[in-house]
Amino acid sequence: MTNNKNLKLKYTKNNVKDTISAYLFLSPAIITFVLFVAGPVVLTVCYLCFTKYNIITPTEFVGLDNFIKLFDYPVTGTIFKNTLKYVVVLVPLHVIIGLLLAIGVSKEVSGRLKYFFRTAIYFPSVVTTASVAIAWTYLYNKDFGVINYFLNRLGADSIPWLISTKWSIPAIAIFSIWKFVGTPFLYYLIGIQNIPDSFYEAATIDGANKLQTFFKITIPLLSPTIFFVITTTFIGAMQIFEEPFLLTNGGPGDSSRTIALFIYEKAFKSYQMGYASAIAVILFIIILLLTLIQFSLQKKWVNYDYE
Amino acid sequence: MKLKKILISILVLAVVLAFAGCGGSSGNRPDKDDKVSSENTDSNNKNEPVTIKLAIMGEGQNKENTQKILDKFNQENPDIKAEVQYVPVTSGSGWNDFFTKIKTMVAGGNPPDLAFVAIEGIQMFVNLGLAVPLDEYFDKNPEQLKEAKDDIHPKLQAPFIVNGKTYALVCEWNNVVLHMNTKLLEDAGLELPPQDWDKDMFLDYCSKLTKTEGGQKQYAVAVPAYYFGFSSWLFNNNASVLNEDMTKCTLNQPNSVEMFQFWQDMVNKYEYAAMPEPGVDDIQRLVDGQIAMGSWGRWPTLTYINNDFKDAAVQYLPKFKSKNVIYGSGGFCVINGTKHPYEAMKTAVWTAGEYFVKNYYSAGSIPCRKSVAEEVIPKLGIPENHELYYKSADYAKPVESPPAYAEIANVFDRYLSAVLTNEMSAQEAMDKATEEIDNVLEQSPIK
Repeated sequence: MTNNKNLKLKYTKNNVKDTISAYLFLSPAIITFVLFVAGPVVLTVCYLCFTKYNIITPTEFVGLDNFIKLFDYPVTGTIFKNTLKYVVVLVPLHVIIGLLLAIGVSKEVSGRLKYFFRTAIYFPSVVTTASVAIAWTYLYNKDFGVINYFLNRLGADSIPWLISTKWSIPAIAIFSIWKFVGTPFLYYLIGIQNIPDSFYEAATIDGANKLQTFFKITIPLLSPTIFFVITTTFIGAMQIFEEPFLLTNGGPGDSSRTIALFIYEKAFKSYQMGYASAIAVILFIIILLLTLIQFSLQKKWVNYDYE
Repeated sequence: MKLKKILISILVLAVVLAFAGCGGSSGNRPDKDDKVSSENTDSNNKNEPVTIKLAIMGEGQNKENTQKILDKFNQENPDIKAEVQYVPVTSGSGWNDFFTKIKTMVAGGNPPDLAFVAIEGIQMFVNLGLAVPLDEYFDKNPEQLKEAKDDIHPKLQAPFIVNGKTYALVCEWNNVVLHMNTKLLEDAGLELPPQDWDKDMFLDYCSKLTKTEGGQKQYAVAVPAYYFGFSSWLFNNNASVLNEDMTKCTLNQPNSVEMFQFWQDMVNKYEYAAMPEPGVDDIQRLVDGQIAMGSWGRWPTLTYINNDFKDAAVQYLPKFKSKNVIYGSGGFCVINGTKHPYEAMKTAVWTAGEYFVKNYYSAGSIPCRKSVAEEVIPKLGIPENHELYYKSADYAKPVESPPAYAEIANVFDRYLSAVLTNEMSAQEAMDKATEEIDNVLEQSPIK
């Protein structure tokens, strides 16, 4: 009994020591997270969205006024619709193009070319968005842009990429794909590398062709990665900001304005922090709900059991 | 258990700290009724000069030159060390971004001592208690105010006198005139138009200056797609963004709609005007010969100098229903929260003096002092017909800049681009813009 007690005490002491060390190592990250992420989120959801606040003067409680104002604002519908358009266009394109590129590079390319393609596809993801966006505004220019130059050479008319309400979202989507497809590509590449070769060998012995292998082995075994890419791309597309901000500033008119850009404008151009917080809360709720739906649906198609 | 309690305490403390950062306390915030001591400062060491930081919008390419100019002040006033602090802004966002950054610096308890404030921001600065009036300084130094008043046009100074208090002495101003590439005029067989030219003559010039050669289009004119520039065209058609006391939007009035329709046609029907493209500098396009005319102030002279471009001339905008000239002026305001208000005021007043104005505004803006403008502008020599820069102050009208200017300009820009891209008719866009701007005026937290 005494021995047991001593053992327990010793174990507890070691445990406490380890736990303290763990928390000490974690504390900078935890404090930073709480101060700059969790704290502001709680503050926004519980307090700021119900106030009038312009940074300088003290906050003033206004109840639900900010939410009512958002629903009364005539352009709200356009902004939400635009964001939805980005989601509808960007999520499938990122998921499909990323997957095709990953399969192409891992299965169809060999040797040094593989390294070249991996680097070339992922490279735009690590470049500062602001710097490449400037270059793309020149590429997209109607009168002297390189893209229109080639279109003209092919006999097509110049496209007013960034200065037409019809073309602003496609232009931003093309840029976004070029800039960010490297991230899902990388996830897929890792996912594909983790699929055991024995599955493919068995399929080959059974006489499966490439298409059958792709749909019966690669896709099911890659489904956790696909689900992860869909979820993160969806959240990213709902919060899309940099691309319209840098390429079109939400224009022409409101044609490419998104919810995140609208939040920025209200907070940092009109100094309406409370109003901006209310919009952020609504965006947060929408993303949360849709992500929960995705998580509940994934049980039906995501396969975690292949080991 | 104990550990959990400690961890929870740390987390709670961190959340409380985050709340405190944005809470209702007015610890760092300016009080509108703050009294400024005109006595010397809380400096502990009387031998050490106090540092006065001047915030200027920009990337700081001219930092060395600006500091060199300020060093003259530092030599004359060994108890003060004036230092320039450039505040970079997002491309295209201009004053809005700069003012937001100054506000954030004030809210964060780290304000500059002085900030350059243009007419567009002065009402907001005063309204939020961000600017300190200079009257106490002038009470002690009345001769400096008199000397400045004798040389600065009262019209340019007027926007900076709010409720009878002087918040800055203006040091620069700009009007909007039509810049022209004289080489392109010459190629088209045109001369500099007369001062009293009108809409028909302008359209005739536009038709002769628009051409396509070797697949490259040369446009007659750049669209004045910014609040200050477009307002100048509205003024010339007896229209404006707001009514006289700036309480209602008047953009949907017939004269205003007519001007928006005019520019919609210039882009889409006549194709004389280049649709503004993101990231494209129209001034550079004028220098490069891709555009023949553009509506700007004196700031293109900086691009002209950088490109050694001399084929430029200016003329008043063509007359439509009326003939007007718009202006915007600016000066250094003392920012509430400065630890050295008296020294800051002294520095602010010096920036409107002859030495600073002559050296800092040799190009870029029109010096506020008539004597300096008449010396500096002809000395630069470009553009041709530069007398317009200092002769128009007598009859120029200020750009409309209510306290909620930032948000109004934002609405204005959105609907202007909707008109230019033909997304909406001019009337529909202006009806919507008017509704939104009226809402802004009614609901804006800054009144």
